[in-house]
Amino acid sequence: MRVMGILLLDSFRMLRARRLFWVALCLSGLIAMVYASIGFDEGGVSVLFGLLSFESELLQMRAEESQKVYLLVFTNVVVPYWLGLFSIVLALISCASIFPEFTRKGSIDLALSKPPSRLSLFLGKYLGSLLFVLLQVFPFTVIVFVSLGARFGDWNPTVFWAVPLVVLSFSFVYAAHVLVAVWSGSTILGLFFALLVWGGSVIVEWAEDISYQVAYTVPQMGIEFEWDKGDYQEVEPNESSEDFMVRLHGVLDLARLSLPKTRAVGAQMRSLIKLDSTDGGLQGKGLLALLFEDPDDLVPEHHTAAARRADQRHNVWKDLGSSLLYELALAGFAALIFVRRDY
Amino acid sequence: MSEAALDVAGVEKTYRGGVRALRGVSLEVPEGSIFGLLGPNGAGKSTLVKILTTIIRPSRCRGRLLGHPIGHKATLRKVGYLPEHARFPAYLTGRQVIEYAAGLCGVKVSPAEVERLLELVGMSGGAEKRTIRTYSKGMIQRVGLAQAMVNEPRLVILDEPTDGVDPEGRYQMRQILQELRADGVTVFINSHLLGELETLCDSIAILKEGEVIRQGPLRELTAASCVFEVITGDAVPEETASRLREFGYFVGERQVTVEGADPAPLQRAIDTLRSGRVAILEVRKARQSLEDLFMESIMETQKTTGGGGLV
Repeated sequence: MRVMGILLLDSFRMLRARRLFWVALCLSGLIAMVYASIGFDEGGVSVLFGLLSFESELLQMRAEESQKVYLLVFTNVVVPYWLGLFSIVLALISCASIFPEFTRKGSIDLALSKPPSRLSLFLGKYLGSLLFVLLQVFPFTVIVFVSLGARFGDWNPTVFWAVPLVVLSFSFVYAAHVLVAVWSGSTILGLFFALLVWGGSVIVEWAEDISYQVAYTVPQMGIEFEWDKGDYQEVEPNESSEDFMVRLHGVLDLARLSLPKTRAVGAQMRSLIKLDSTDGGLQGKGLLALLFEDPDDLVPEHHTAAARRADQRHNVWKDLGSSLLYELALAGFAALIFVRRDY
Repeated sequence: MSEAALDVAGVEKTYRGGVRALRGVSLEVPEGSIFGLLGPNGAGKSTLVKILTTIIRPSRCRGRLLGHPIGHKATLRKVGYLPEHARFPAYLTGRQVIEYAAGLCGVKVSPAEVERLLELVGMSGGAEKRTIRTYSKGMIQRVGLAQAMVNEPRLVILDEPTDGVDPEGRYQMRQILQELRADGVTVFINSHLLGELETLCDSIAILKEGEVIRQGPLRELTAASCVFEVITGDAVPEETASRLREFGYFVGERQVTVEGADPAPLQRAIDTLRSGRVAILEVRKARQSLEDLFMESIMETQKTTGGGGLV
């Protein structure tokens, strides 16, 4: 444990010495402050603590609804786009040289000639890299927590779910980088591979999602598209569409299972971050559900049911578990290369 | 100096691709001594050092380091190591490098102890507070030596320790290594600077193409081929010179060189000179230098193996 502490301290010192760490932290703080400055009132919405006000009929809300929208902006905009995308890219760039620098001749000798095992050194460096994201996300989440509490009196601890889940998302992407970086010693190659795997996995997630909608959700809603006319018609609801789409979805689902699921982690984050700890929060509800009194009045019941089935088709734990298995496989292989190599 | 700090036999290393870096190296380093490992480039010196420090895995190795099998990680708690071309993390200060090394060794080190080590290697006075990226090569070596001593090692392995160090620093380093020996610490140096090793080492080994070609106490190895020089007052007359040459001596203008540690040929040379009425000014025992021994050893093996120049 002491060795792990030493390695984490070393990682912290390394991060602190990087300009990009401070740039990312400042950006993170800036975005958190902008988020904290958003306010809702009877006239509309304001930003920068009331400095700029925008009248809006849509966002004229009672305090409870504005609280919901405020939290939704966090879970549906800030978390997936800032924390789940841009901060991960920044973290990846910042941490990209950690392993190549560590394994460079003359540098690795010092660590390997000491008592800790190679596996401990690898894990120390790996966890140290995750520290970067932790240090970025945690202050951000604290600002959001304080902002929610101060504004609405809702001291909502569930926002802190963002911390482990964003770190988890990053670790899925980072594992691919580490494997190539340890194998090749190249920062650029590792970065390229990580972005390739990440991009590929997001595309597969999207493709699986779309194929499911076409294969199951659309038939269950009783909709048939007329592609040549660019129109659709209502038909008798059906369990699934033609075999080809079902088979295609099956293949994509299998491909999705073997890849990291960063979108699924994002979805899990949205379901875990609740408005308050007693009412079940925002689970299963979208922005429409909050803006309109009863969304079920607007769409037929079988449409809602099909959409709900689509939302709930993936088991969260299976998604997280298979993503972790993917990470374990890649990081394990990287560790094996690190442990067995002559430096 | 009775027990061996390092005792290895039949160390072999073949890298992927079939390069045989070590071909059955056997070494013994007495405890509390300073040992020098010499050899031309590509002889396998660094490979051997890296095997001892677990940076490289041997293909085959029998032996013990401080009483434990080679590769036993916990033993490294009592080993200090300064790598060749050491690259310490650039974001650390000199002080932090020492603390980091101590931490990896599982040693708690007080600020006073760090200060003492920095002072010992001539790195106190503010330089230790700057980050490594601002250091010269010599400063890095000094900090490297300090970190190698932070765990109070029983064995210190130094790979080219004086590389880039100024003359004053070299002198300080020699003093430190001699103090370590006086404290019973074994010092294992891998260096190209034969003059430095000659002043420091108790014993040496010469490695060539992955094999030990000479090994033993430095005094014995150099004495084994010692030379006597007889200095004369006048030029040696031709008649006397020819008699001396017949005995196999080398005759210069005012000097006769007698090879070997045996005093009998020397006596015969003196008698011959005296009978020729040549005034003898001085007889001195010229010990073979380490450089001579090194070159002689390398050339000898080239003759026997028919090898080419140095790698």
